[in-house]
Amino acid sequence: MNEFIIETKDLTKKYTTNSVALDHVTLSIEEGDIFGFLGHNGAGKTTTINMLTTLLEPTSGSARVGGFDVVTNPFEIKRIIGYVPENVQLYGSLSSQENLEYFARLSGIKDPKKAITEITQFLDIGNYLDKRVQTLSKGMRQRIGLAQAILHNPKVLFLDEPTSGLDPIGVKQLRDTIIRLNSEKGMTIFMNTHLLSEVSKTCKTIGILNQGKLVYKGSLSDATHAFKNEQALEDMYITTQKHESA
Amino acid sequence: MKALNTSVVVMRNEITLLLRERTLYVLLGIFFVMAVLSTIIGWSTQHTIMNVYDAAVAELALVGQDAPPFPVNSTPLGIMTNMIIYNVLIGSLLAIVLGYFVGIHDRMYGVVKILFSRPIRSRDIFLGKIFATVLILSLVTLMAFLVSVISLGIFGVLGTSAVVSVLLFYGVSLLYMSGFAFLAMSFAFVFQNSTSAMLYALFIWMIVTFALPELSSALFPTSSLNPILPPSNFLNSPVLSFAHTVTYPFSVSEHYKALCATILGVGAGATNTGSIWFNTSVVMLWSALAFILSLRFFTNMDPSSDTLYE
Repeated sequence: MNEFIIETKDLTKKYTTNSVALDHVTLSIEEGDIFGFLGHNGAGKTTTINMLTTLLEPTSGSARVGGFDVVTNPFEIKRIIGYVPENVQLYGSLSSQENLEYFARLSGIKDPKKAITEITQFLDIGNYLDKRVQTLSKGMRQRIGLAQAILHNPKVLFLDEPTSGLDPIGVKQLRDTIIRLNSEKGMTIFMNTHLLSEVSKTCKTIGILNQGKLVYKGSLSDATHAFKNEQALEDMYITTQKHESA
Repeated sequence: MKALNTSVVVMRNEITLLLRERTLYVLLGIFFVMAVLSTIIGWSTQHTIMNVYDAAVAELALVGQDAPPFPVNSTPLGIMTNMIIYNVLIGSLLAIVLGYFVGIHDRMYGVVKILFSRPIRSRDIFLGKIFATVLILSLVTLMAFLVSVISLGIFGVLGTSAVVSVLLFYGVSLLYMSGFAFLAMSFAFVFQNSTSAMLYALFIWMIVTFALPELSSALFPTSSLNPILPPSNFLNSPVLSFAHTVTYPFSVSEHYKALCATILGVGAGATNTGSIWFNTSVVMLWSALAFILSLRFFTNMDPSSDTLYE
């Protein structure tokens, strides 16, 4: 039985010899966690997700998702994960229903229509299924994007900057959905973000990445203990970024 | 079996996406109008030449002179000659646009990451795209074939052998156009700029359609498009002879035109079995190489990037 659903050991990604996107990151995330991965733009968050979703091979080190190695068992990992990239688009000239049916079939779902009905009820997006995706608002597109990622009821859901570009109502809806996915469906959530407010309202544990290095990993409550003089998460975040940059 | 299912799912999706591209409808419309026009123009040309010849024969008979032989090597399927040119021009362009869309759809809509995060093998995605391209092109050529057969029927030159010849002609055309579709698809898979992807495909189309035939036929402009031979004495020039020797084997459109001319029994078709095989081999090799290139470029696609500039 694997206690940690996501594990990385010295995970490193170099795009060129001089460009290290991720530098020996060792991380473990328990099943059922909502993990917030914090860091400024270019810190290596998306590179991490790309490697954990098997879209990108690590330069060195190892990573396992659901007990499967990202290099040797990518196919098995893809069966148990859902992924919503930043600024999710989908096929604009297709309707939401057509998009969802397509990705349901690619995910090997036997009865796509039934799965879509369940997910649309869960996300309350039934009124938008017949509309072409290109006519939908960004917030609604994000929800359809989320629907395609959870159609096959994955164990782990990867979200890359999920609240990017959403209005406050969209942000709140998404936050509530993430919490429900975790509590009702038992999904482990791995969420990249640089919005500290979202992390504090949604996540159970956090990791902070700076210039490709993991500078903090722990629960939100532990974070408060570790940074006794800085009560606010924002202050803690800024401190870690400053320490590493110095 | 599951792999085939995946490819069929991808194929159906690509076809649905293609059916919502207006540009493709415009080109399809032009192609079918050309298919109809080719036989009308061909028939009209033959009819005019025949009438002029008959009038000349009558005039000559009045002054007591013998009529010269009919000057044009006319065959029943000669009225389809124009379709060879239209396939070289419009058919190839249609194939390029088709292949371009199939190749670029995923990046154009920013779904590469989602697609490659699904539990499917990339070769099944690739095959689905190839199936969609070949199926649409096959339907287009099948419909053009039906249009041609109906037109030939209207003009009274339809027989079993004519139908077989026209079918064979469209089969070769499908192979030739597939090469352009695969080529455009290849560039669409890897170029970060969508305009560049299209332009590179069009550049190669221009080389294959105009430049190579010009070079290999002694800069004889008419034969760059038509299935006719350049002046026979051009090989006396060392420069032109050298250009011909070097470029002719690679001049795919010339081999296509010659092969079609042989099949339809018009113009400058091959005169011996060896030439027919050479023409056939070059057209097949063209399509096969373009297919291999598209497979190679698809394999090199970055699944972690949706980046596409216009």
